[in-house]
Amino acid sequence: MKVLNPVGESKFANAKDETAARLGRFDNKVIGVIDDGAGKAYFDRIKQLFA
Amino acid sequence: MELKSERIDVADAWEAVELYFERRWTDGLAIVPPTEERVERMIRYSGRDPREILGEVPPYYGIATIEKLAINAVMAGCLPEYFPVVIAAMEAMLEPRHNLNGTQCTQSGAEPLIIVNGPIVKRLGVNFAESVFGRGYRANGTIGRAVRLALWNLGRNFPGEPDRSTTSHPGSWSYCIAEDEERSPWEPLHVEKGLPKGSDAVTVFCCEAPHPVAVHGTVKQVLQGLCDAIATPGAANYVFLGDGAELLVTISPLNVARFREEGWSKQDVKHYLWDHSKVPYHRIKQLGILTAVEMGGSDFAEFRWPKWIDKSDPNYPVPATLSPDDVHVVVCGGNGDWCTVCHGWGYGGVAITKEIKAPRG
Repeated sequence: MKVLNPVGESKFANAKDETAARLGRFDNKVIGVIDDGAGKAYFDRIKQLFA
Repeated sequence: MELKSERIDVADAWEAVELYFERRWTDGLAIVPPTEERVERMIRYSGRDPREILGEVPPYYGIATIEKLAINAVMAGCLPEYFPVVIAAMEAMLEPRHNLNGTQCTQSGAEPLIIVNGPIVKRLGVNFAESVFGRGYRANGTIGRAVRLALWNLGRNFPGEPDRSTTSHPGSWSYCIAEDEERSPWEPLHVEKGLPKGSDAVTVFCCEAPHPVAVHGTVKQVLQGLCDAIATPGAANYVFLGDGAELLVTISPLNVARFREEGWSKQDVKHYLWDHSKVPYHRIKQLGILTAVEMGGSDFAEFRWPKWIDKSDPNYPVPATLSPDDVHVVVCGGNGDWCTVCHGWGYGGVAITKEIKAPRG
């Protein structure tokens, strides 16, 4: 029998890269996604603190 | 009907289930194989065009077409009659005000709760009574699961990356209830939100797991018990207080009868809950979370809280939401004394109500 793929096509051509670009990384660990409510400001603040 | 999704050949249902596990097309539970016939039947009932786009689901921004939603609804075990509810729930979550990107990725433990209202509740058998937040009913289980699978396959918010939820909660498998409109002395939730009486609707609200509270007696006794349960200094609503902090309280039909006897309106209840569940500022500050480095190193109380909160006063009573209007009250549950408190995320996932559109044609 045939079954259907449930995954949506992402609007971004390179969806993985786009998501990766929006991940807030710190010390090579993902700590959140930019636009998760706190906004870019708090990731900038983290980077400043640990610069 | 022309469906666009990739077809995969499998020998049988068992192979299909294993394939979906291997490809991470399911979040940990087995699925109903979405054959072309089953998906077409789902779409046909709704009368919608399979190519219709509802929006893009973050953080992957997968395009949510009716076709993709139907595939996930079949996988969840939905009957075609449930599909209009699933569509309306997705439409609600895709409203920008709901902040789906935030709720999909946040560290907090809030998950989208679907609340169904209207004559459709009885028509589909959506549970609003005993075990309302639990198991036992196909409509509740599969509608909630269809929404979760759609968020999984269209948003691709896998635990750890990019979904940073520290603990999540069991509602992330399926989280769907209905309101007991017959036994409620007040107008139903969707009418309160502006929809006409007699219409069918869903409200999606991103919230923590329900915290059961044993209360009995006069209205004030019941409400004070709920206020004490709300007043948890570490709840996200207090920490992130601002536009986006909302709260759900459910009252059992047994307890709500007293509200009718004593003549309490829903507005009276919302005001009481808001006013008597405030927490002294120093109790939130002492948790250390407001300025936790991993939360940005800034002081949430400085950049997020409203300016009318006097932080120079350590005993300033901080409310759980900006106003009583952000406290949602729903009557549901069994004939027992247990009510519940469900804190919101604080930063969004706000309650959005959408009418369930009747099948076309």
